[in-house]
Amino acid sequence: MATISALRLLVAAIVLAITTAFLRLLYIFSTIQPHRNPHVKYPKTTPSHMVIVLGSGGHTAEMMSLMRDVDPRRYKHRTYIVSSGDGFSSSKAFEIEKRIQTKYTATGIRITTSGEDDPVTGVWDIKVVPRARKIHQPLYTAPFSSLWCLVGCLRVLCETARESKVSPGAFPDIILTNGPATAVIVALAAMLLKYIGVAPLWTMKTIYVESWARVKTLSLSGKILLSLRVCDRFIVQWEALSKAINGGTGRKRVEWGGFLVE
Amino acid sequence: MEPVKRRMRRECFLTIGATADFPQLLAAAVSDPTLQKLRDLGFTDLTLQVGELADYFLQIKPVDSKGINIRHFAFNKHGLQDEMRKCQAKPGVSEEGIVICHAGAGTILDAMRLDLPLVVVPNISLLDNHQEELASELEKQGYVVKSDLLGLAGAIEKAIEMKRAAWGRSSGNAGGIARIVDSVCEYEEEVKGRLD
Repeated sequence: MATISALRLLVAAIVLAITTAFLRLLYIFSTIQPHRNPHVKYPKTTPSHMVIVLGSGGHTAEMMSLMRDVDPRRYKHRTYIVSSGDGFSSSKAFEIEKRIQTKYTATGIRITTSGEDDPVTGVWDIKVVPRARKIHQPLYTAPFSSLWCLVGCLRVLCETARESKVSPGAFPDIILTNGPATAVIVALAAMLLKYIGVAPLWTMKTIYVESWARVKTLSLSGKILLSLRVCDRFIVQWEALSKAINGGTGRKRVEWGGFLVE
Repeated sequence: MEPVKRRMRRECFLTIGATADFPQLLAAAVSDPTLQKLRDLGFTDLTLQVGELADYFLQIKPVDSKGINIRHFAFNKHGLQDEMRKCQAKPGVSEEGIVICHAGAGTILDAMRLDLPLVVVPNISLLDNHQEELASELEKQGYVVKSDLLGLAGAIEKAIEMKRAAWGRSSGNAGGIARIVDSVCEYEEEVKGRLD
């Protein structure tokens, strides 16, 4: 009689687990057609929930310019993720809101404050995550603080889903970012939630816009996000940069969006 | 060049940026050749944003300013747009001036939005050279004049006389990220909606 040794069983189990994990990864990254919510009719007419990752001064100023024509009547819930100890970013979120609400508020003067609901422009709020890496922090501790940041991002994304004003309990539809260090961790957290099946695949589609200042090379955040392939859309603003990355192979790793800042 | 009417204000605004020290640019701006060139071109005012280098600037501030009114300040927490507006032409009041800046993207955009002549002097002592790449590419496309510290006087004249590409009209991508976000969410395109 053949007996199945414990070792054989273990090997079989591991092979099965790896195969499953790999197939799941393949399924998630399949880009033949976008993952769609079966309960929504397309083209979409219902409001959406958008997450915007803000960073330091330069990134945030550019984000304000990028977002200038975002319609708050469509994206009725806007959640801004900022890093802890970055008080400046919170007031910047208000500046962005001022810019995108002004066109649509009935009076054109009053801008809603964080958490306040408006029948036309919806609601916006701010979530704080721990910093991925402080300035002058020794490099060897960066993995630990990044892990702590990841935990914070997972928590914040789940919180954001619970508090969604667009569809309570549903994860946000869109994550928009332009390259602060936190953005990498937020994108990873979103991917992880989708991978383990907590968040549906049609949620948290990630759009990354490389800074206008990047003409020939990607920023560090851009390089990491591109190599991890976690972005649904990866946009650069200079043709030379898109050519440098896509090369002559016809592979479209990044897309050239023209100058999106003004 | 057309003859310059006296008494018309003509402003040169220089900024070294908020984060990086750039004392060499301040020194180049108040050097004899630069001041002489500004005077020859009919400039009346030179304003400098000096950040934390105010003490240094007072040391190098020339005794003979060649008739140019020199003013400096540390920071403006409301941004530099108001300062830059003083460089715009106003009929009967001021002639079109010029902005000189380090290669920070935010500052460059501020100046280009106001459609002002712009000289960009990248800070080569910074390790990351992506700012220099930005300046080179913008010069190639006709938006700005890129200069080194020694060539500043010549670059000022070049920037004033060049035929500038206009930023607002040529960026050609009205709407920023909105169009892309809408397509990812699969909303109907605005344009189509309008045609219906």
